[in-house]
Amino acid sequence: MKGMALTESVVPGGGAAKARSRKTAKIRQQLPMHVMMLPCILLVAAFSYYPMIGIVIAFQNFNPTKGFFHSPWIGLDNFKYMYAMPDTLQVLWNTVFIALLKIVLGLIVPVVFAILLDMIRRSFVKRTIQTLIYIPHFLSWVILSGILIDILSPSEGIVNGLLNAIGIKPIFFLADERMFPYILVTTDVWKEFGYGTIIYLAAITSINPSLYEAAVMDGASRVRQVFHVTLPGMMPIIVLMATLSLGNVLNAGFEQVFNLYSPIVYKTGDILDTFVYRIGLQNSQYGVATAVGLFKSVVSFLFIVTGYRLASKFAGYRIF
Amino acid sequence: MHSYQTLRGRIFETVNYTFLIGAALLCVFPILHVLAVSFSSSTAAASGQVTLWPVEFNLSSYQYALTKPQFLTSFVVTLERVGLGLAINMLLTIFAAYPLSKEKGELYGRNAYAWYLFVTIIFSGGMIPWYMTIKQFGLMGSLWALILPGAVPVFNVIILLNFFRQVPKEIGESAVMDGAGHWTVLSRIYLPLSVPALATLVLFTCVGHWNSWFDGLILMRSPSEYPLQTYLQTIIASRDMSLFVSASQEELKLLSQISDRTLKSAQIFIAAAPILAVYPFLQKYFMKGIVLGSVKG
Amino acid sequence: MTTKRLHKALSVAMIGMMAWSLAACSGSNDDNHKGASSPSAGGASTAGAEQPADPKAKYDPPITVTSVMGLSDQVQKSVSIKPDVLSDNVWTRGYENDLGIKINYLWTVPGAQLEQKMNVSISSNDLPDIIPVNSRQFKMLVDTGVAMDITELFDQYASDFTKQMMEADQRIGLSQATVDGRLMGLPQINGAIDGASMIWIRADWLKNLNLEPPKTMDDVLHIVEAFTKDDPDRNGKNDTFGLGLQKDLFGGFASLDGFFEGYTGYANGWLDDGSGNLVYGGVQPAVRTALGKVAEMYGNGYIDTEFSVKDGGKVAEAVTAGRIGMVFGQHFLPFWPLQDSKNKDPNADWQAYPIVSADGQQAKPMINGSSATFYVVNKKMKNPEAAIKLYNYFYAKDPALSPDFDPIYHGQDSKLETYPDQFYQLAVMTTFFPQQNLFIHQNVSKYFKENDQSVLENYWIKDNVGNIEKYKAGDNTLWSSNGWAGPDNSAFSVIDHYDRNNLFLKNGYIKGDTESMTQKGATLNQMRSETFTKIIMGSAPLDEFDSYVEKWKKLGGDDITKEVNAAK
Repeated sequence: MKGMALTESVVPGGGAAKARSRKTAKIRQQLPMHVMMLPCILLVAAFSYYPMIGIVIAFQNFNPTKGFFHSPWIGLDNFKYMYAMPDTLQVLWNTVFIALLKIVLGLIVPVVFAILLDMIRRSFVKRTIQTLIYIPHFLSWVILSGILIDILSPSEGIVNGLLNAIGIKPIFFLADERMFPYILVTTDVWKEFGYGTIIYLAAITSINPSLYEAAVMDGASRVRQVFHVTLPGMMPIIVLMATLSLGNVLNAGFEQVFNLYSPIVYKTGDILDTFVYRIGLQNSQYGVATAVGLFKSVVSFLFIVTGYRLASKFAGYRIF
Repeated sequence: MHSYQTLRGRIFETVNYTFLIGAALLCVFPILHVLAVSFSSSTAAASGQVTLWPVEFNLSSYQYALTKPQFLTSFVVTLERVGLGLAINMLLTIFAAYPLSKEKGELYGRNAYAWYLFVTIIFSGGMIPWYMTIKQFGLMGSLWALILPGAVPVFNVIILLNFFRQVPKEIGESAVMDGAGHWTVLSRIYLPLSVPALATLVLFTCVGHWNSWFDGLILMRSPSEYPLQTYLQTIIASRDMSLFVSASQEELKLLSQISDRTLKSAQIFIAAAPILAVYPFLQKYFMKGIVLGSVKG
Repeated sequence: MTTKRLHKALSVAMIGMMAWSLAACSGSNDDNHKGASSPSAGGASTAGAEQPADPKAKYDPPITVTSVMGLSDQVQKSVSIKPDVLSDNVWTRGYENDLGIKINYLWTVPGAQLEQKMNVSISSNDLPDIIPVNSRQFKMLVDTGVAMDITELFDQYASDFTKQMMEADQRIGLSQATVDGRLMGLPQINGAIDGASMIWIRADWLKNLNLEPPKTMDDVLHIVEAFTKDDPDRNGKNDTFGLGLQKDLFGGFASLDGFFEGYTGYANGWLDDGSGNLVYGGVQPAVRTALGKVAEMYGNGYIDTEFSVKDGGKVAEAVTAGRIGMVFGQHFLPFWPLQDSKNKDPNADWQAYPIVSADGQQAKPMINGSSATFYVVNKKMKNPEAAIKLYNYFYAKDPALSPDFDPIYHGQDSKLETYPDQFYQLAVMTTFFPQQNLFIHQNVSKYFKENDQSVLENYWIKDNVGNIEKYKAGDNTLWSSNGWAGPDNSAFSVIDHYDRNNLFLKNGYIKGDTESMTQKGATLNQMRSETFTKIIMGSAPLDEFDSYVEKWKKLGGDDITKEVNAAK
């Protein structure tokens, strides 16, 4: 507060020359920050913006020997080609459905776990659980899919064994059109929630302990503390993660789907990325792949920007 | 905080412990399976007999894996990559997050910078231009090819700037009044106050560098330059069986060795173990209250 | 087929050379593989070419040729023993001393990742002089104008022995590498006949149940049933399946190719419809019939109910665990996964049998091209003829039939530890005697059945005979050699049977994808696997096949058929 008042009081005043010199002073005072930004700006220019020239491939019939500038231009044909594929709409729907479920659960589950973990007082238990739940993140889907096929097997799998014990008939999860998207979401959450928990634990750790002390003095129960101190304290990070994850609305998880799906669940399990992969497999159709990539980027961008606007409008919080 | 003494508190505590421990058990299942397979005989593994306990226990797959020269070479490449990459990523993340955590009025062009970086999370030219760019810069086959293109982890920058924003403004501003420059404020105030966030990002960065394999495959010129995960990927990726039709006898003889699951599992485990150990090590920076308390006092 | 067109394109000189028969050149080791000696009698002189090119001339000073390499596991092993083995080995020394050619590899990558890495290289136009590619990439390189037309160069520079090898391949590989009548790359010849399907059965189970090996498809169905129901392993448990099947349905292991062929269904091939036109096998009524039979087996529980999520690796587990008694597959099965099965249970007596038919005729397995890899010569290459010289050089040194054969060039995997730089896979290009594997079997057979010691002079034969002797002496881990090339009921005894009885059915179209295949192929293949899997699992009736056929035609199948017939 003190500092605010100070800067405010400096700006208004005197003539134009004085203002200019103050401005210069301010710029000089800011200069170190611009210097800090410089390496990032340059590296991003070189390795992110410069390659973006390649987006033109989306509008070309790209020929590697002719390059980005001399390949024939074909307007929106690559987009039209995708749109004309008979399954595109179904695939888009599958993608969005699976991705949205993953976004929602991928947000809620880690937050809940972080809070529950925080309530454990024994440090050793807490640390051990944290470490254990973070392990699946490190196993690739190639490995996990093999294990999942066994676990979920209707004849020998543990899951169906348990279901059987409570009188439910075996379910062939991985070959059931209706179940398959939910299996994808569940297993994805299972693989990633422990890793996702870390950032929220960091957020909880960063909450000023005096807030808890005040709450305890007011006689607030643990549950009340969660709702009045912990959650509000985590909110900026939750909003941030929620908004950024909106960018994944068309990312339903290529590796996972690719390793778990089969023709019998194509109808509900085929997603944009596997679809493009199969088309690409027939022939390296760079134009189409780039067009789909661009489409995904634009959609992600729109979603994140909308999320950004909503967050700043309703929560009063700008994520960046 | 002694509110667990009520009966309701105790019940809650018990349920909570049970639930979390249950979840933790679900999560260790796959790695236990991988471990069990790695310690089993290849025949037992090949016939799918192994679940959570080794069958016909032996250590031969570890012996084999650890004496493979390629394994050690790749391990060294990965260590170099993680070390160098971590230093550069963290430095750049901090340098970008600090200015961006300021308000528009405090830094000219702040919003332009923010959007400039943000856009790169979403838009990219795709693989071909990425490859050609790195080639143009002459980085092919060098460690820098694995580090420079991702030197600015924008996602981490955004996370860190959000944590920086939670640093009480008064602290920084009073320091400025005392004549401290931005470098001092950043290193003496912001960084110590953001240790949990920094620990998180250190972890994310280590894990990111440790796990990436695709860039190694595309940007390195020979397997001897591969980082560990790239090498691992070449082992565990399932083989296209249609290629075996045209295999010569010598190649065919290798088939059973290629498909040896115990060997794969041992290598998967060895490659994951070091990074799994990083987290427990970093956990002490997640202890609540230490940092803020010490600064306040 | 394009053989005719190709013939026209070849020079007079070459036809002259073709008169040399393989047998005449290569000495006593070789006989009885047909198609080897060319029927073309003709001019004896080589005076066709205007400027007689010397295939053996040495470059002085030496030139450098760039390439890239997909490293087999064996080569990776060599590299770990001798890090500079790729730039200094028996082949590179030979190239330099005999041909004046130095090889420079721009990059190397483990074999399984070659395709991915090559895709990036192609799309970035970052390519060496000699480009090893698969058939899809081959088409890309031709379409984008990277590939050099080497029709004339091949005529001038291919050695006599190379040309004989092409004849032994019945020019199948060359025709695969030919686009619009022009040779656009050098095929890595592997031999088409190795791809034929066969039946692998546990003979110990047959014995347990007093069953005979199958003669007809009804026998097959009966064995499948008995293997499921009658406790073939005599363990008192109902824990076996008659037939192993993996989720891709087609392929080299636990597939349906051989089963369908029993009903004259060729789901992946192009067939002559009797009037000289090619039709797609996957939409013919025979496939419908076969699908119905598979669905029946599935319905009766003779196939793992969960096959639709299990890949080859998972089925291999079941095979090794002794739960499956029959699979359709190709020649490589003894090495994987049947050797594992043998290790687990020494009584597992896997035997190969020819596919059988449902109609009393002899069943015909389909064979495809003889090349899966092509060496494209980059248009930018300065001395393109060097590529052909390198190709010749491999044929000169590697096949045990070649007059210039030298065993150190082929090397032996068992000796790699001591001589890591002596191995055929270290060559910049490899290509093989197309009947190599069959040839091995025939001579191994001669050794065991006629006690013909002379065949041991050939290195290939000696190696295999040695392994089989050891297996017979009790070393179970070497069973695979017996199951592969052994005298009876081995993979190649079945191929030999097909070969002697002229049973191979050539796929009518083995060239690269046509325009519509590129555009529509993915959709059509997906539709096929979806429909077939559903029919088998009973979640769609067999009639669904008919609407699949209709859809297939409408969604691009008709266009593809037209293009295939225009391009054949």
